[in-house]
Amino acid sequence: MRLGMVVDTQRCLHCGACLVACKAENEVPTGRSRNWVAEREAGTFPGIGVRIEPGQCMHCENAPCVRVCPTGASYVDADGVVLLNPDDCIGCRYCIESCPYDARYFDEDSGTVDKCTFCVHRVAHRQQPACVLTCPAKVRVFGDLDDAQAPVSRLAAERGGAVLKPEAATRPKIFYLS
Amino acid sequence: MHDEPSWGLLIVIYLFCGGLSAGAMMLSATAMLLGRGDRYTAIVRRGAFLAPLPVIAGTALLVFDLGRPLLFWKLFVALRPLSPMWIGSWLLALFSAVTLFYAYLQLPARWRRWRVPHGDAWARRLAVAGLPLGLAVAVYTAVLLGVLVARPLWNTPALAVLFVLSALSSAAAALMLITPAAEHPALSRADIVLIAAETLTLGGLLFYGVVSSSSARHGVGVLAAGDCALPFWLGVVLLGLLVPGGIEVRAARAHRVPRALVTLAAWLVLAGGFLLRYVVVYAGQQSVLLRGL
Repeated sequence: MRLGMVVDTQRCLHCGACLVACKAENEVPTGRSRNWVAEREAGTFPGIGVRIEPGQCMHCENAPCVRVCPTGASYVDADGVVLLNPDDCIGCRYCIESCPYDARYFDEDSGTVDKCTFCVHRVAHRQQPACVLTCPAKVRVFGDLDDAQAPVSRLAAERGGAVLKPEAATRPKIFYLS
Repeated sequence: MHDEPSWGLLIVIYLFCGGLSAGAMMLSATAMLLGRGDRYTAIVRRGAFLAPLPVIAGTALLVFDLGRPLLFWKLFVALRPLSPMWIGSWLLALFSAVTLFYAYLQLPARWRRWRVPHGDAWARRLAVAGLPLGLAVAVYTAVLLGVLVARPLWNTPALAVLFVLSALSSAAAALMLITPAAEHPALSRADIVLIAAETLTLGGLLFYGVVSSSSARHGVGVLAAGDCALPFWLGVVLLGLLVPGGIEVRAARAHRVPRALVTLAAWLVLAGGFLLRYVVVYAGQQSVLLRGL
């Protein structure tokens, strides 16, 4: 299994439900967030517009955070999810520096780093991640990229999934539909 | 998603201390191996005494800066050969041990509690080992930053060249402050070459950024035209390189340069070396990989 996600930015209302759902589900500390919704300029003048772009940890296949971690606390699990074992994290914050997507944060209370987990604790019970389930506009579709029949794979195949910052060469597993 | 830089002043101090120690070890070992005995006694000795101190203090700061300092031992039970920080942890441990032993062998005989048979031969062996180890520590302080594609200002091998030259120059300046004047000409000659090479490398790094990718251009822009522009141009370039370089050139060309001015130049080099790491660490964290080339 290779868990991934497609994001249909055109459906996004920028309502913030995914942010709230994630914070509630994962008890994210005040002032921190594991996901975000960015507004970016799109197109070139005169055909210019705003693209609303939700994001989170991209669960890269070539993850720099995992490579630079000096203790092995950051790792990739059997389903390709980039995770962090808090017992082994010494709070050096090297992984935060290494992430081109700025997807990690330091939790002062625990002294460790944290980030989106693709809600593996929910996925283990065949539940969708909180941000996916909550989204009223069905912006996110989550599933097994190895399964060609899964909606996530079909959408990526049919509508050309692009990744953010491909020049970072991290091979993200979150694809943005065009 | 954070506004405060993840790596702050403690990391800056540590990078400076690591470089200073590495430079001191390299200069002391070079002086011993080139001097064939007693030509540069003070540089060998004082360099050996200086070498272990900053790196051990800096490593202590580094551990203190961790989110969970008491778990620092986890660095040494993992096997992470692709992590610069893991490699660096072992390098620092090894380098600290070598410099401590090397410094001990330079102590006057009456201060040494344990007799070391063939002490001079061991000192030479440690110099031979300490030279590449010191170079490796100096290189590591830059590679730690340099491997990160996410930070375009850091993401260049030129940073390693810059930090090595700056480490050697800082150590030469520090030794000028703690050795008798007789050996200053040798240090001063070395420092002039180092300052010139460091200035050229810095110029190259800026030029490289301006003419390569948009991310690299943005990276050097943050350094040279962002929040750090004033400390960079005034502190690092003018007061840290050009002014002390000029003073040392004048002193080397047998102009009568007051002793106080040479001392000032040495302090300026040290302050410039520290400030270089400060602006690189802070500006580097404001630089982000842009979309598109």
